Amino acid sequence: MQPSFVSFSVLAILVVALLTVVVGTFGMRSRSTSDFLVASRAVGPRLNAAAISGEYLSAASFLGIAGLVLKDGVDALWYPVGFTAGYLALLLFVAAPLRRSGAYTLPDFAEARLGSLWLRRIATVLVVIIGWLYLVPQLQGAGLTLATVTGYPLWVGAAVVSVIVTLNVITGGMRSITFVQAFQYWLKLTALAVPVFVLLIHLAATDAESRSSLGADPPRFFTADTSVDVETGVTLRVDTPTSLVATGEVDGRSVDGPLDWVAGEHEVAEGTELRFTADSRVPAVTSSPVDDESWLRPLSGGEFPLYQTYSLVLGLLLGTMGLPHVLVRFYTNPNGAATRATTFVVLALLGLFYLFPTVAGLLAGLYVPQLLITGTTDAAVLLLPGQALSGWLGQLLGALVAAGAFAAFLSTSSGLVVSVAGVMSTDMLPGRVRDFRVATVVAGSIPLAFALAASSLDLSQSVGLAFAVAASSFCPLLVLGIWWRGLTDVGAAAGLLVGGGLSVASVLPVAIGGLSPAVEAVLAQPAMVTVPAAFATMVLVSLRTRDRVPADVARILLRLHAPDRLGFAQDREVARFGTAPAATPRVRRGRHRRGLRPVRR
Amino acid sequence: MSSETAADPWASAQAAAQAAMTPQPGRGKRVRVVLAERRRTRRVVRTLADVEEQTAQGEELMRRLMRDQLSLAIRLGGLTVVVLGSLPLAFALVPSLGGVDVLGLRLPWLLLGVAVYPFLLAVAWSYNRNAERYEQEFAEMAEN
Repeated sequence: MQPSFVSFSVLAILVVALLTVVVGTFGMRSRSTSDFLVASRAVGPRLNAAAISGEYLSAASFLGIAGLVLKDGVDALWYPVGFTAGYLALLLFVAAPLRRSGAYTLPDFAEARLGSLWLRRIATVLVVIIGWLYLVPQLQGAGLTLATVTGYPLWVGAAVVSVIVTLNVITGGMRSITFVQAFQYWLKLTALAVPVFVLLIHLAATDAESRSSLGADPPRFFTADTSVDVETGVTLRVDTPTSLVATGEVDGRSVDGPLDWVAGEHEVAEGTELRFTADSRVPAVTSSPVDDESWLRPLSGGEFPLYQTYSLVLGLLLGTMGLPHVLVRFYTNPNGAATRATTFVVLALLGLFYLFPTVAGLLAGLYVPQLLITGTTDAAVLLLPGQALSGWLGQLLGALVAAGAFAAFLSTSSGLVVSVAGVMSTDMLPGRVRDFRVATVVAGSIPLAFALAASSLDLSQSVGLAFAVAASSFCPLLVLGIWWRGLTDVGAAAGLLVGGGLSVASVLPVAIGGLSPAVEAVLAQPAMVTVPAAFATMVLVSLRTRDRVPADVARILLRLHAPDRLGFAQDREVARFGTAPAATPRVRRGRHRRGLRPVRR
Repeated sequence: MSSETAADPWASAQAAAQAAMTPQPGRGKRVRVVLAERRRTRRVVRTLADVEEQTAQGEELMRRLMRDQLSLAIRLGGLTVVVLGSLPLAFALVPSLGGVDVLGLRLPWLLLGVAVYPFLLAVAWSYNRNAERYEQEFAEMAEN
């Protein structure tokens, strides 16, 4: 890694962090609780849509998708499709009524719809779990990015992001976050689109001859013990004797144990697992797997590709509406119609963005195939410009990508920390601005501890787990709560526990290992099983407890579905919870309709 | 501070009233003082009250709106699921589809990488248009 590239990148990352804080201070004047939590519900659709997209495009989108395209080929494209289609599901079934419900958080919705405080508690716990599940890969991605561009240890990036986010959220609150997020959408788009265009022009201008000189890059060393699953057969070249552990077929013989490679070429068959120790040399790939047919064709990976694809897309499709940070952003729309307009713009912005990670993944196959051996395909976007273009242009573009990646971690983490802290401060603490700050520190530091302790997964895949949990808990609650009169608090709670519990529990056996492939496939992508289970539980238990249907259900549904201009919608009084005496009179001063509140049980 | 005045309609009303009473040199026109947003001055007539008070007629109106909205969402959602859901199945049943070239791109890449997004956008646009129309009809029925 050339020193100038390192300093470029560190400079770019610093600029992003600084801009985040500076743009954030635009909203610093806002000091009421309402401003702090929901930007006083007065953000226009276009600004809000950019903010929603900016918050939504996480490390999984910015780094993960190109990495998965490099690794899995066309099957990886289901991730961006699912991430985007999730907003369509949200628009069709949830967006406008949810905004009119006046719920700021998912626990708010649970309480407003079903009038049950203990159901609210369950929802609170689930929000915190989902938020943290989503935060951990963001912080790990930050660690990976900084380690890739500078060689710092992994924990540095994770710590830097969580400190910046925590400070920024503490000082600015929601108003400033809106501007930060909108700014970061455009930054992320630029940081990916410009290098992709430059590389495409470069590719068109150069011929195949210059491409084959890629093998001339300096030898690399594994920075940590690395395990590589070879999905398509490759021929590797080592220049020095290398010791490794292999399981599978190497050089035409089946192996299961330690192996000593002499300098020269070695054939590794597909399905082989190679484990290299730290500080051994990274073998070079002589036959690029890029030309392999299976990479270009869909449904070529895993034991049950069709099930995995469907289950993944289902989880992403229905999980989006249950993500806590997404809902908070929707609440800053002024009314239901504006929420629909915002969602439409979000779909356009996401579709535009996702063109670029796809192309970047294709280019990565040409320029950085060695990542397939190291297994750090998530770093593909970061290394691509520097590998493809020599000289200052490649370094500059590499720095731009690094800055964009940092914007991705900062924006998504900010949104998650805001929403987790919002829930914690109103439901576990008295709900004053000071409590929000305490909650922010807690919400930001616990996932940091997990990120440092847990081993790294694929970014997109671990984010996929957060989606699966959201899809099997909050999606049924929202959809049934909005469209079905018969939902009861007991039914909703049972569904949340069954769906959320099953999907969270699915992580544990995968980590242990040693299961039949069919069971493993279900556990790896649980949504196809857990989402129907959650829906069925909610409906069946609600039918058994029909006498608990809230007496004012018709009035609540009227509020959710009546057009905005009739004025039935009602905003949550942000400071209602707890004691918060200082902020309450401000909120009461005439902006809120009163009197349609559900009776508490 | 703008958020302060926005939060307090009295302050802005007083300011406006004061501005109206103070004779302005060169501008003798009367100033209209708006005390509240339009939404709060809505006409509360019989049908709207029916809706609010959950009478049989209002209840029926509300149920119809919800049914219309839900069936619209299910129709468009179903269309999306069928279109997207048929892709993996088609690729699995007819593997040769994966090898078709269109405009220099493999068909699966073109469909999943590019064509999906305009499709999703078109569905969203159609939903917004129809959902707004149903609400318009409901509001007109409720207000006349």
